Amino acid sequence: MTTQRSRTDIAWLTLLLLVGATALSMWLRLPKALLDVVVVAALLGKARIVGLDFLGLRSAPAGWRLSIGSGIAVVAGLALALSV
Amino acid sequence: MSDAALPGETDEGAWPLFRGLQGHPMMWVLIVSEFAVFAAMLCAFAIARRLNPDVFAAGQAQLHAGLGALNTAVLATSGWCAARASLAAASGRSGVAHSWLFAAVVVGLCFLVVKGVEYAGLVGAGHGLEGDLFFTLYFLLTGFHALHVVLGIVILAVVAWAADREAIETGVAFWHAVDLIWIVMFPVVYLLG
Repeated sequence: MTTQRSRTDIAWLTLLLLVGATALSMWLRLPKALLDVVVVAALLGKARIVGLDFLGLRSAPAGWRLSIGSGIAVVAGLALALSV
Repeated sequence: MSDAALPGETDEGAWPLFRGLQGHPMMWVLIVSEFAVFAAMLCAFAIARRLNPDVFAAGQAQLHAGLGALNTAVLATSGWCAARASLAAASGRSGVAHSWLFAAVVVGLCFLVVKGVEYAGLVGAGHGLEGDLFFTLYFLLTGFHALHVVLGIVILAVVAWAADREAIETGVAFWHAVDLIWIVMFPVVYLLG
């Protein structure tokens, strides 16, 4: 239980770091193409943390992780591909 | 009519597909439905942006990405509180679980306050549901999500009031789903493009 609690705390801190890193990338005014890639990478990283460590998909059958993960990747990939 | 489970309808056997997931299986039916609806809406948003790049670029420039980032951090913090509540409930510390749930509700309310400030600024600038395509989709998407945040807060408050471990895990699972949807929605609506 203590290990799970530590993992949850680390997940939260990592989420905050990813939000901060995204904000910093925007503040630095990176080139649009690079910024979009950073934004989508942060999106996927945050979604993975929330899915595995908060929503509990780490202990769920692999099919659930694969389905939800690939669904998020498809939406993010489509949004990136269609960004102007 | 007896409440006793029929053969093959025990807790172990009735929902084999949902075994290993937190909370009640029916909540996962709802969560998967919500994911499908929001995925379709976000894909429609991305396609509409591709078809109307100028309208979307002008609209997105008027959004406050800083408030969106703040709300991402707020919702992540609320999700963390809810996750700690779930862990406390699993270890039988119901008092601690209720405290964490209360914290999750309070931080969740902060999300709504920030969203209200953001909406007030946009409405004050003359934008609304019946404005251009960007703001119509923006208010529909984020408003629909905000309604889910309200529903999630109500669910967390109900399970914090008096509920067992499974009910807490069920309510917390919904809250994390709302959190996950926002994590995808924020970059797609505020940042990409």
